[in-house]
Amino acid sequence: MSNDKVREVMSDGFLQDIKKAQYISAATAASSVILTILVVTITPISAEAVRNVWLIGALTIIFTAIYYLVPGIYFDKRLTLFPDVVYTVAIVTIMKNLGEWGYLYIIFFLIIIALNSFVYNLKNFILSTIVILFGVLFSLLPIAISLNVFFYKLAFELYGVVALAIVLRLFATEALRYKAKKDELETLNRHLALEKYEITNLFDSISDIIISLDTKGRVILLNEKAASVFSLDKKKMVGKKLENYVNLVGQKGPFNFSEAISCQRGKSLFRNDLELIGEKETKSFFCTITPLHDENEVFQGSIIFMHDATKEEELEKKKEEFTAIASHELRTPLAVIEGYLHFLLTNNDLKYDGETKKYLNIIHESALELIKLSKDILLTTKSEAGTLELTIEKTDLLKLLKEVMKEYSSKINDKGLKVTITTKEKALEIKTDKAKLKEIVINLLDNAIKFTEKGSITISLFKTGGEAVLSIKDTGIGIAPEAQKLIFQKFYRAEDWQTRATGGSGLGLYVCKSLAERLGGQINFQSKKGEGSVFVLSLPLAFSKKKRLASNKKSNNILESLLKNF
Amino acid sequence: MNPKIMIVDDDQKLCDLYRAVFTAQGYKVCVAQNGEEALTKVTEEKPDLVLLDIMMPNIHGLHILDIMKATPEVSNTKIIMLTALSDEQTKEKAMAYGATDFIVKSETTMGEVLERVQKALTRG
Repeated sequence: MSNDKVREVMSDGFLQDIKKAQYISAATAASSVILTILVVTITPISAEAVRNVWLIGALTIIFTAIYYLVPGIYFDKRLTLFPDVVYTVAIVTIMKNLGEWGYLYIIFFLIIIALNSFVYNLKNFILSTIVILFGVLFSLLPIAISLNVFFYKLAFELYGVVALAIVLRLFATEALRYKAKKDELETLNRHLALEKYEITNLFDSISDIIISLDTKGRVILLNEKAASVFSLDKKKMVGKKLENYVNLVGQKGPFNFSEAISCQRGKSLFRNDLELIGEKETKSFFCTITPLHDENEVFQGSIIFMHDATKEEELEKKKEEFTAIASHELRTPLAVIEGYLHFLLTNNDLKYDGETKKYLNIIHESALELIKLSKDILLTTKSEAGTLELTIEKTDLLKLLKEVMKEYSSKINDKGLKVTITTKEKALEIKTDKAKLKEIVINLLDNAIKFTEKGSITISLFKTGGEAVLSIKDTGIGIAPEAQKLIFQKFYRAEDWQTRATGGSGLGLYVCKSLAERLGGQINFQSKKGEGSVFVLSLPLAFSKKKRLASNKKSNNILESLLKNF
Repeated sequence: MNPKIMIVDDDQKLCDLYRAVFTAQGYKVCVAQNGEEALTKVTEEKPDLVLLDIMMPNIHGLHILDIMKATPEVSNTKIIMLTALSDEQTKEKAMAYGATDFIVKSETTMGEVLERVQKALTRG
């Protein structure tokens, strides 16, 4: 049902009209009865006529009672004229029985017609006025043209009957219209009550807090969960402001329910830091405030939705703790294994035959891989949980690059790759987190070496605008077009990884990307299968919490041209 | 003369490992397994470099670092902090207290540890 319909039917004007109509009907009926009694008792008419009037009066009242008590008849459209006929016949019969005094009756009913129609509406009023004017004209006509008195009487009586029929018709139509409207209203009310019941039930069955506020921030409705969490009385809170009853605190600053009023159209307000400090426990909430506007952009109120995230937060914390502890417990013995292997391999006093040395090297490499993997897992967990801390310091990217190269020199030599660094800079100092940057560089270089069987790796380093750009280009196997969208995904590995002896967890590039973004930079790449790949890391020269390179158009253009030239 | 390194860690296995590795590399090595021992030994042995674990029973590594830096005889000794878990705040604190470097044990390969020790010793 449309809102307009509801508003129209529920208008106060209509309800007042119904009341008015009821009063008028009652007044008309009462005055008719009184007039009948008066006329019958004070007029000198025959006893037989009096008896007839009483009889007809009684029959009419019985008829009315039956008609009123059986609404089926009352509102059957085919029977609408039935009461008209009955009442008209009754009144005419009473009039005839009263003789001369019957004219009083006609005059009385004419007055009633005028009054009633005046109260109902203009159209009826005009119609009745015409009827009355004709009545007056009829009354004056015989005097004016000295007509036969008998004809005059007959015409006046006829006119009276017609007038009564018209007014009764008017009343019946009005009554039917009101009844129909009243029925509709009642049906609507039932629908609304049912809908309200369903909505309330639905709201109450939701395990999140839902509060609806009006334009001034007062409560229209709050659900069971809201009532129980904030210990409020659902009914008593209606029309009240929540801030006087609920005290929520947030790390991002104070929270006030009146913020709900200042929400802009189409813009929800989101807070994930809210806490309710209770005597026993502190609950955490995610809160969304959605403003409601009608089609004319007029603010209609707002809906507050709050999710009790206490358990999720706890679980998230536990998960993170578990990962940290698990990987730590894993890594400490691993560090010992790796350390001793390193010792065994580097101690010149110890002599091995070729086979043993080869196996020791393999074990050592695997231990190194495991250490890297557990480090990546921890980094991933932290960056996903948003708890990755940074230590910003001056870092020479060129020096760092050379350090990493040195660590990988044996791998590079083993494969016989030619690695060159081209740069104009003697040192490229940037303000960033050195350890995280190193992690990115290691991963990128590691990949380049891993996927290049022969040929060269070209690393170039330059400064442009407010950023440092490092590109690592290889002549390796390249990345298939269908895989290019996926390579930054967690645990993604090239489809043929099982047949390739490249190893790796599939975390490397994911870690690179999330670290680069955390440092305010980005990673892009271009690749052709079978020809090679180029990965480009760009970082701001000075890390700042607010600035991000992703929004920097100029930097994107540079990257694009760089990648095109490849 | 070969540089002397003092290892302070409550983990016996790690102490043994570091002793073996550093000795093989030609360093002189001495070991302390708790804070008190470290503080007495450091003035006796006068090492060139101390590898100091942060999480130890009784005295916290950062506290030992602070005391060593305040002791005139050893205030110039290079101190590299060792820790089990990476924690940026602790790292910042350690560097502010005068540590030369900060090594996360479980994240660092033996090759890197050796390199960083060497670097710390050659740096002035």
